[in-house]
Amino acid sequence: MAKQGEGFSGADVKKMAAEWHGIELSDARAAGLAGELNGLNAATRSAARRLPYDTDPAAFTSALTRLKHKGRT
Amino acid sequence: MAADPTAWSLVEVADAIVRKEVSCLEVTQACLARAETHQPTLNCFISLEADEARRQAMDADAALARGDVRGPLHGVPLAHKDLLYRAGKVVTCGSRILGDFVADRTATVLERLSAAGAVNLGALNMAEIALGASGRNEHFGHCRNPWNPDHVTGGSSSGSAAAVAGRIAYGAIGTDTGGSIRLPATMCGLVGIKPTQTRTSRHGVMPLSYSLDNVGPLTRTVADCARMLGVIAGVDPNDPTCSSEPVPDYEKSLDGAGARGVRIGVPTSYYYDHTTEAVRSALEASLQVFKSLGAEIVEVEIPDHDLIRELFGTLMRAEAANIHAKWFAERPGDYSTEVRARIEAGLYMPATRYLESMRLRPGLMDEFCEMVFGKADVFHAPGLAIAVPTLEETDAAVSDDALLINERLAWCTRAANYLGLPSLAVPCGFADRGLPVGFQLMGRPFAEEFLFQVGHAYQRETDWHQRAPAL
Repeated sequence: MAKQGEGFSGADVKKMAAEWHGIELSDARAAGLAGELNGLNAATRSAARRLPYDTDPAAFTSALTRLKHKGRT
Repeated sequence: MAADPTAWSLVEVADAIVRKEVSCLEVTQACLARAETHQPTLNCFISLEADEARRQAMDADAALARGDVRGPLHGVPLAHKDLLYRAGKVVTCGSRILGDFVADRTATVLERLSAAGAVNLGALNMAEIALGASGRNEHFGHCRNPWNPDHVTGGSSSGSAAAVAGRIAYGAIGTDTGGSIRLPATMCGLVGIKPTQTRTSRHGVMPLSYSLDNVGPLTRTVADCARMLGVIAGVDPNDPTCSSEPVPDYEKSLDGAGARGVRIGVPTSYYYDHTTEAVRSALEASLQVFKSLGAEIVEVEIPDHDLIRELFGTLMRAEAANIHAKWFAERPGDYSTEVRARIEAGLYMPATRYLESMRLRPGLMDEFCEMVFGKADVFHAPGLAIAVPTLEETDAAVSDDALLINERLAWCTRAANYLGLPSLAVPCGFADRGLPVGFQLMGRPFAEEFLFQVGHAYQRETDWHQRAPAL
């Protein structure tokens, strides 16, 4: 298994696939998925550091209304 | 106008029907004749329903004879991507997984088209489960670009674009999760709009990603697009995510102020990273047209789009994988390798990352609106940065570049989905290998009416939208 801070290893993904979803993955596929996950994880985690703790995902819908087009400037 | 009604625009044919210059049946027969002639080449239909279309056209003619004009699409032949439900009919979603799925309800969007008088020609081909920017489909056969059948149509609303560009349907419904309306519209020389997130109902539409999916039309002209969106947009009690914002009369203001005085924002980064010289040149020419119309071109900085691309990827994979998780486990062989590969990582995504990608959305929308719409009224960018590829170039089995090409196809379109903003694709010429090129106009939330005005002003000055492929 991957050590803390190293992200997912192929073995981690293979185990999750089998235990969570009943899916059997080859070693190569699991390693590929681990690489993909680690990239997405790192980018999202890093960006999320800027978030105030109480940002509600539902703020998206209210932002659509708040930022809406109000005619020609 | 030309003698052949299939050469007319949607608005032109709808108006001619109401004036009784042509019957609904004549128009429908003309469309069906083209469908039967070109289906073997374009493969745009999964289910062409000729008898049902004729019956609807005859009903429409009978209603018209009684003085009953059902709505702004009375007697106009349209078609839809095969992921919109019709009660009692199979909806394949372009997949083997749903190959025998029979819907128990009808999509709100289709009910609204029908209430407005449209004739339905049938269900259109699409990328498997609505995932794939090239529009390839291993199960139903690939759709082919009417401008050159060796090339892809773009996806995932591939059949929608091929049918409209092929002058088989006057307009078609597609869906857009990361560019699936705008990409095929751009690659086939059409207009298409991804509306503001929540603007159109998704009731009775097979989901790919709940947070990113949008329903919208593909048409030949901006005016046609305005008419179709005006019919389908608006609050739907069956879709709790659908906005209650009033729907303006999009057509009424089309010939208003045009582009005079409009500040058009052009990005200083990201969107032109991979453009070919021919695409860049066509885009620059379109800006010159806007300048000649009295618009002002301003450079705008944008938020980190590499980050937005990753956040889009996290969100889309998590939601799509969740929808397909059960079938991935039970029927893995019923998906193409390519489709599974694109979303499978979502099965193992930590919930924290998914939620972070959702929580970052409103702040990035704020940032984009402040940076772009603080200086500009609309945002102008390529619809597709690269040349429209051939089917072979997008086939990972034979092309080493296929993965890179497929990634670059949606380079310019995904941000609008993540940010929830409306984006109108408009054709602006022909570039590499004689295939179409187009730009997209993005606006603030619910700016569709304004985007239509600006896009329509461009089309009054140009004739790219009037050109038809020589099939």
